[in-house]
Amino acid sequence: MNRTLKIMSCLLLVGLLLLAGLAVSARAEDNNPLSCTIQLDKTSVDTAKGETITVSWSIWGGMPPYTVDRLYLDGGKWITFRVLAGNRAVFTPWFYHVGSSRHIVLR
Amino acid sequence: MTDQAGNKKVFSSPHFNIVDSNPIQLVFDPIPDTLALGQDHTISWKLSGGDEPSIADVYTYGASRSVSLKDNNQAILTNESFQSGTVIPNLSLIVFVRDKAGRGQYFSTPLFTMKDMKPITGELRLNQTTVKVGEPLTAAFTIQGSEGESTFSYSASCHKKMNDTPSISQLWWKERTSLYCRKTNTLAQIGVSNSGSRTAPNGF
Repeated sequence: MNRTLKIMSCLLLVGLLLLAGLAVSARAEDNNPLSCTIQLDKTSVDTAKGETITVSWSIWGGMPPYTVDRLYLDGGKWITFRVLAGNRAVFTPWFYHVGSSRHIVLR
Repeated sequence: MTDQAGNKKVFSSPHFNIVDSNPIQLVFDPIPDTLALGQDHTISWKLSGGDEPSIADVYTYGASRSVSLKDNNQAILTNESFQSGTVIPNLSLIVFVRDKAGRGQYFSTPLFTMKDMKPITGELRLNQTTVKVGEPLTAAFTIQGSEGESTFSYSASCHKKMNDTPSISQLWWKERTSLYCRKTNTLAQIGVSNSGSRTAPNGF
């Protein structure tokens, strides 16, 4: 009986510690949210000239390390990026990408 | 993106423009509102820009019409039969252009809209509905509703009425032509029918 009580107490303690850890983590996320800035090397790309656009990004906050799952053009269009070192990638637009107010999404 | 704690977020870059400084351009030459009945018509255009653009496809939208490409700057739209009373809204010509660089672009221009054609009506009158074998039967008919040159063909069948060997003779006649039922020893009743089909649409 006494032993069972001790085991239950231990389990309760572990549960409380886990909950406390999650709460701390959530507070950490609130205080230091996952953030990112994205920069482009130009504001206009001419497909007729075969121009490319380079996107670079900087991530902070949250809990490093970070993983960039994928990059895509607005509207969900899949595009092929050539990934460079140092959180950079190059995109070569094609004729059917022509449009204004395009943007690249990091997910 | 995801951090080690499993937090996921999506971020967007500043906006930018993707332009084509040498787009394919196609400008249609004026197309008349109405075309001569039954005649083919050449539709022409001016093609520019791109990298050696060429016509990949040309077709009509809104109706089944035969279009053949003549060269990179014109196509021939050929006439086709339409049912009487056919209305074709938003009839248009579509031209699809490709170039060596990989561009592909559709261009379209509205074509003349088919007017609501007057239905063909006909009235067939016989001088009698029952004739004796060997007697002449005179049919008179009038046809209305067509516009322009049209071709009509009408037929009548001579059906047996009495118990006799079936003999249906297909007879063709023109306006105010007398008919004869060529059967012996019986009476025959003439069954009449008329139908019309337009062989050339109005306006084209």
